Amino acid sequence: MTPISEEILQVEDLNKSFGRLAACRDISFSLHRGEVLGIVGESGSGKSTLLKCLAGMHAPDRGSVTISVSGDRRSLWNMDEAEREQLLPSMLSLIHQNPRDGLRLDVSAGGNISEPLMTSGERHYGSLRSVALDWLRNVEIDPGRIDDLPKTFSGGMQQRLQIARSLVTHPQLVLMDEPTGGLDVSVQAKLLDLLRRLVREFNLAAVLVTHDLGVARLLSDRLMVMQAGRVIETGLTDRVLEDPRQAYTQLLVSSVLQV
Amino acid sequence: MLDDLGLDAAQEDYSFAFLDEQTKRMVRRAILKAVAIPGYQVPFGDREVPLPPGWGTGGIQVTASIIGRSDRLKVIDQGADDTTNAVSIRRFFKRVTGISTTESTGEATIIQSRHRIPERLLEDAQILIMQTPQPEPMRRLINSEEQARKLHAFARYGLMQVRLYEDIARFGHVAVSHDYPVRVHRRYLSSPSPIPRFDNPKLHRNRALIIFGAGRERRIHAIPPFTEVRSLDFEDYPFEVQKWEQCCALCGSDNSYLDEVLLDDKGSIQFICSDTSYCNDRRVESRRR
Repeated sequence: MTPISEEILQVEDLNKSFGRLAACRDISFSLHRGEVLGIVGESGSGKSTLLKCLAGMHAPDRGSVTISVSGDRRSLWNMDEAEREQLLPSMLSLIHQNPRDGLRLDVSAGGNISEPLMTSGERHYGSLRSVALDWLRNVEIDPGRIDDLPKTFSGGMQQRLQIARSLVTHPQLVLMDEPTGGLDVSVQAKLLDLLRRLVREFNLAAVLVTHDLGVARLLSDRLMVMQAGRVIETGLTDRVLEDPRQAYTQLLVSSVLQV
Repeated sequence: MLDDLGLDAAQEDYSFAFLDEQTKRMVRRAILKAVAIPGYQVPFGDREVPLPPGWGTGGIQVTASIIGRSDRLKVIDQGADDTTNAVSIRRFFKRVTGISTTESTGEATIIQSRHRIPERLLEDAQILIMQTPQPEPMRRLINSEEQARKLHAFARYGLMQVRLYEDIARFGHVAVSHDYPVRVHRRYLSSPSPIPRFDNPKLHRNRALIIFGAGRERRIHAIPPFTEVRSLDFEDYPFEVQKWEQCCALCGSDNSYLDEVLLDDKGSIQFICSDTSYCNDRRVESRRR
C-alpha cells in the first residue's frame, strides 16, 4: 500500500431509515485507493443497507456519498438519475452474495463478462471475446467454458464469474456483499486468495461486508464494527480483532469457533 | 362484418372509418408525438375493432385515424394482397369509408402491412403502416416494463447487444431473421415489427412516413421520412441481409425477398417473390417488351 494515496470514497453523516426503523445512523468514513475496508456486524445491523446506499440502489435520507471518478469528485446522490446510471458502471461495481443476482444465468459466461463492456459501447466481437478469455483465466475458470451457461457452473465458479464481470470495466471501487457466503470452506479459501490477488493487482479500493471475521481478517486493512445501525468501533483490522474495545466487539470476537 | 355489429351502409350515423372522432383525435395525437420522437413508443388507448387482437388491430386503428376520402388503400399480409387478412381489412375499409383500394404499390397513398415492406421504393406522399405484435425490442430479455423504459430513457442497450453476441458465439452469425432490432435516429432502440431482416435497409432514409401500431400492447412508434435507421451489429460482424441462390420462378427477379413454395406431394419446390404486387408489375412489364 502506498502511504499517501487518492481518496476514492467519502461517506459523511449517512442516515437511512425504513419507516420507524433506523437502518443506518450517522455513518461517516473514507476509503483510499488500494485499501480494503471490512464492515462486520450481526444480521440486521445495517451493513447491507449501507452497501446499497453506496452502490446507488437506495437513496439515503440524509448525508452524502462522494466517489472520485478519475480524479473528479462526484456526489452520488446529488446528480440526477440519468447521470448516475451513466456514471455508476465506471465508478463502482457490486459483487452480490448470491451470484444469481449479479449474473444472467441464461447468457453464456462470455456474454456475462462482455455485457458491461457492450453497455459502455464496445462493438468489436473479436476484442470482446479476447477480453472475456483473459478474464476467465484471471479468475481461474477454464477458458474452454466460455460458451457454457453459468447455470451449469458450480457455486464457486459462478461467484468467480461474477467477480470477472464486476471487474472487467476496471472500476476503482468494488463493493462486496458477503462474497464467500454459501460456499464450502475450501472453495472459500480459494476465492479469498483470488480476491486478495485481484485487489492488490488492480490497486482497488474495496468495501467488504461480511459477518465472517475470518474473511474480514484475511482481506481487509481496516475494520468497522456496526451494531443497530451505528458504527461502534473502527480501526486497523488486527487492532480491532486482537484488542476489541467495545463490549459488543468483544462478544463478536469471542464467539468465533476456535478449531 | 358490419352486419354483425348492427351497422350497414344505409345507416348514416356511424363515423367515417369506423372509429369515433374523439378516438381518432387521440390516436392522431399519439402519432404526432411518435413522429416528433422517432422510435419512441407512445402509449395510446386501444379501442375494440371488429378484428381479433394480434391480427392487426393496431394497424387498423392507425389507418382509420389518418385515412381521408382522397386516399387509396393497399393492404399487405405476408407480402401478398390476396391473403385472408389483407382481403378482409381492405374490404372493411372500403365499407366504412367508401374510398378506393388498390393492389399496386405505386398507386396507393396508404399501405397497411405486416411482415413486409414493399420491394418498390416508397414515395414522398405515401404512408406505410405496420401492424406490430410486440413493439418492445427488449421484451424477451427483460420482462419488467418499468426496467425496459428506464433502459430506453438512459439509452443503455448493452443487453440487446448481448443477444447478438450469444448468437455469434453459438452459431457463428446473428441468427435473428425477423424483427431485427434497429437504432432509430441514433437514439431509441426499436422493433421494426416482424419484417424479415432483408427489409431492414429499406427503413434507412425511407422517403415515406412509417408508423407502427401495436393494438394489444397499446403503443405507437414511427420512423419519419429520411430518418437514419441502423440495424445493430458488431464492427467485425457487420449486418447482412438474407440472400438466395435462386431467382423468382415467375418474374425472374434476383434481388427480391423470395418465399419457398411447395408445389406437390412429391416435394418439388419453387421460389417466388413474396411481394405479389412487385412480381405482377415485373411480369406485366416484361410482356410489354
